[in-house]
Amino acid sequence: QVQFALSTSQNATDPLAIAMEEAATRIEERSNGEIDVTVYPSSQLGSDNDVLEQIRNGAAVAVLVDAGRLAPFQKELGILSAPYLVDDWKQYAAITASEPYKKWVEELASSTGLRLLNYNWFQGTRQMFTKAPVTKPADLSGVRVRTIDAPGWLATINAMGATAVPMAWSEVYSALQLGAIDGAEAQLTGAYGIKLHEVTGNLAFTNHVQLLTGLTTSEAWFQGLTPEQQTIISEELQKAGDEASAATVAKGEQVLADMKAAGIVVNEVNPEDFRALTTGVYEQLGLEDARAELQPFIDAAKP
Amino acid sequence: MLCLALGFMVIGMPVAFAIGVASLTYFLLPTTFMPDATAVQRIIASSQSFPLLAVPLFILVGHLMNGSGITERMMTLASTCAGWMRGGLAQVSLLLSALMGGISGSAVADAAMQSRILGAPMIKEGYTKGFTAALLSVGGLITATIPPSLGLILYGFLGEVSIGRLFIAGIVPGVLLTIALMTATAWIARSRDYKPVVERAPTFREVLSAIRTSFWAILFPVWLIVGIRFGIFTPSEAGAFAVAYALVVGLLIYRELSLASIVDALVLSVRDIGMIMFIILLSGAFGYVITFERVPQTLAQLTLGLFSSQTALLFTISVFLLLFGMLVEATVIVMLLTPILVPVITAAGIDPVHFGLIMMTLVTFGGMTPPVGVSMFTVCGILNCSYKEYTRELIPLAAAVLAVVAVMILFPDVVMFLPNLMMGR
Amino acid sequence: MGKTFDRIEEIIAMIFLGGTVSAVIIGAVGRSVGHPVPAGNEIAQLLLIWTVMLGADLVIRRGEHIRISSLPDALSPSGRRILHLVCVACILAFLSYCGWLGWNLAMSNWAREMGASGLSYGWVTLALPVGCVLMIISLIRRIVLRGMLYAIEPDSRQGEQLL
Ligand code: NA
Ligand code: NA
Repeated sequence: QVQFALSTSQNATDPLAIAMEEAATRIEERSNGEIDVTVYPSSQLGSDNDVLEQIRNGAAVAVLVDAGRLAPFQKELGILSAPYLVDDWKQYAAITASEPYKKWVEELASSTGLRLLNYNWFQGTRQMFTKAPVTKPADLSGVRVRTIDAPGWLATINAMGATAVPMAWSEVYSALQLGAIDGAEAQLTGAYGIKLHEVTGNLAFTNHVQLLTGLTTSEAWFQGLTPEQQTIISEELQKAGDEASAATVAKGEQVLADMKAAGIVVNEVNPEDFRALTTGVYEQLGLEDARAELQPFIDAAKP
Repeated sequence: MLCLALGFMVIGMPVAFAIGVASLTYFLLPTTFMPDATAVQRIIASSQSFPLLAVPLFILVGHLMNGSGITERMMTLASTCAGWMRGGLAQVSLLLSALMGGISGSAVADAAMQSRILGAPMIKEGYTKGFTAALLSVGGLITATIPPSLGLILYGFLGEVSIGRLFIAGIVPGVLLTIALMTATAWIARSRDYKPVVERAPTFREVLSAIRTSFWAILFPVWLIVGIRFGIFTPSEAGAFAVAYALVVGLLIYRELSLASIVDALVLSVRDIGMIMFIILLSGAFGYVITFERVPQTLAQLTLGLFSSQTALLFTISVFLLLFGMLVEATVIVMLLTPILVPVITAAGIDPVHFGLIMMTLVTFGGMTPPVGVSMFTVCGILNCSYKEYTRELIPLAAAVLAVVAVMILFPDVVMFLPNLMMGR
Repeated sequence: MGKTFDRIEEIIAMIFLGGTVSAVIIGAVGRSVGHPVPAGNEIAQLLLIWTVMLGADLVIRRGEHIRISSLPDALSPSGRRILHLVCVACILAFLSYCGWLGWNLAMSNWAREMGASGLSYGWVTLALPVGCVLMIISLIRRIVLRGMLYAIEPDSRQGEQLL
């Protein structure tokens, strides 16, 4: 029997964790109980970076991470969480089907032992939640906005005109309530999960990053499975990613309605104003070549 | 694995290593499919948490206050206010604990400091050694409850509970503990005819002048609450500001802090940190095993079926915590049990802030009781008092503490009123 | 030679602790005045684990780690010596294995970043193997100088106990 764990930082009631549970059941059924899958939500196995480290030591775990976590190991992959890469998250399907992407995934596997199984788990589009209304980039000047503690994210938020503050997600609500920060950027479902609308009051649809994530597991462990087992795991997790994305989109619409009912003010912004400011981020992160390689595939996917 | 850890502790292995060795053994078992390096990673990862930084900071604050003249001035104020009562010195020590509680976050540090300052004078005044030791040790509980509180920071961090709310919730129980212990002391002092230190109650002018000399020190809790409330710093940063405050007051206002005393405070702090934080780090591997085996979920399902009322559940857990606390060091219990108990009580509909205050009071008090108690060891060590005598004299004070805990369980509003009022529900 | 080494270690630990405090304060003040120092927290946490490992070594050198001594105290010195031997053997095995695993972890994963600062997380991981080696040395030194009876016990119970 093969034991296998799925890890995510999202809590057990999130669509992503629910889809993982369903995939776990299907994998166990399809493999006639040969593969035993346990889901660990809420970072129970450690932070995403910690779990990646466990995986590099051969742990039979797959963790759901955004590409920013993989960027230190394979620089080009960092482009997947770069600002304004695509217009619509569905265009990521064209990226993950492209040759440059596949080449990067294989390079990552051979150089670091991390196998990126899929990259189709959509968590939402990152938006700007602030205490004061934001209608144009100038309104972000001097506004302390919480973001993810990684160079790419900090560069993006600073480029958009705000002052980026890295902080643990669990501390964001009280930090906003007490005034230690003035805003936070997040996707709708994540924001609703910690009741961000209660302590900010204003929402601007800046659409700065399409937050897609993928499951990463140990290459050594994965290659030790039989081809049938590999197929079952790959297919079911890919399918779970699609289900989770669909559920996230539906939940996003639901929570937006709930947040509006609770009194959040949605301000009109033109995302193009912010996009213009973030072009330098690619250069800053050394992603210009990667972008040039991907651009034909992104353009082909545009309607 | 818990049995293995306890077995190692019984044969006298240092607590930190007993936990570490037992946890590593789990990873070495052939049935564990996680790599051994995960154990080491969890040990390291448990140090990489921002709220946990508060622990070393408050340890340093405790040592700095003694060198900066803050302790001395608090002592003057306490003796002016309580010296006239029957059992004057004893009452002074309790009031001093409450005053120090506004800056320090550690019960053991408070008990150790008071034993050095008040221990010998009390015994000379005719207080029995056992009573002196028991009182100075239990007084630390007041310091640990009044914000800031090291235990509550740890609890909030491990249980993902708002530390700001926990702090504000600690004010009323801290005051209640002070009143209950002073009442018990007054009763003992009357029956044994312990004398006041001064003949008459202080005049208003005397109190005012004592407050003036210790003004900057008393003001700290006010700064703390204001600073947190207006977002100047987060509760987890409060420790750093307490350090800065003690330095500023000691260097610029009282001008008593010398380079030598800062170095002394740093040396003592580094050793305390090495002792306490090393236990916390090695507990990281232990906590991981508990999560991996899904112990909290299983335990929650088991207990929730058993109890119909929240009060019954709270009383049962309290008895368990008290007994466990008598045996095991408070930090260790908080590290081991918070991640397990918080989901259980939250599922039962109890506010984790309310439970946090009950839990912290009980396990901190456990450190003051036999058979194993760091506060007890510390105070008895300094005063050279026998554990038997200590235990006999502890009984009335313990009764006062447990009465306050019972009030906290039966009337949740006593704890929850202030945080709900100041920070909303 | 041993004394100088001890003193240097103590001074480094003190500097690390001072650095931890300063980093937290700079981080908080920076954020309040609108110039956040994103690396502040990371530096504080990095210095903290080094402070803890050095501190733990300073404590082991004095035999002062918190332990429950009721059972050993009730035994004769020879009984106590046997229990201490069991403990010391387990501790040395534990420290050696942890040190080795920690060294591998740091070396194999040097590319992992701490976060905003872009520093390698290996600097954090490295604290553990270094601490383990120092503690092994200190424990052996203590057994050689003080004997097995005092290997994990302070020299005197009369002295003031720390926190
Ligand atoms: Na306190
Ligand atoms: Na005890």
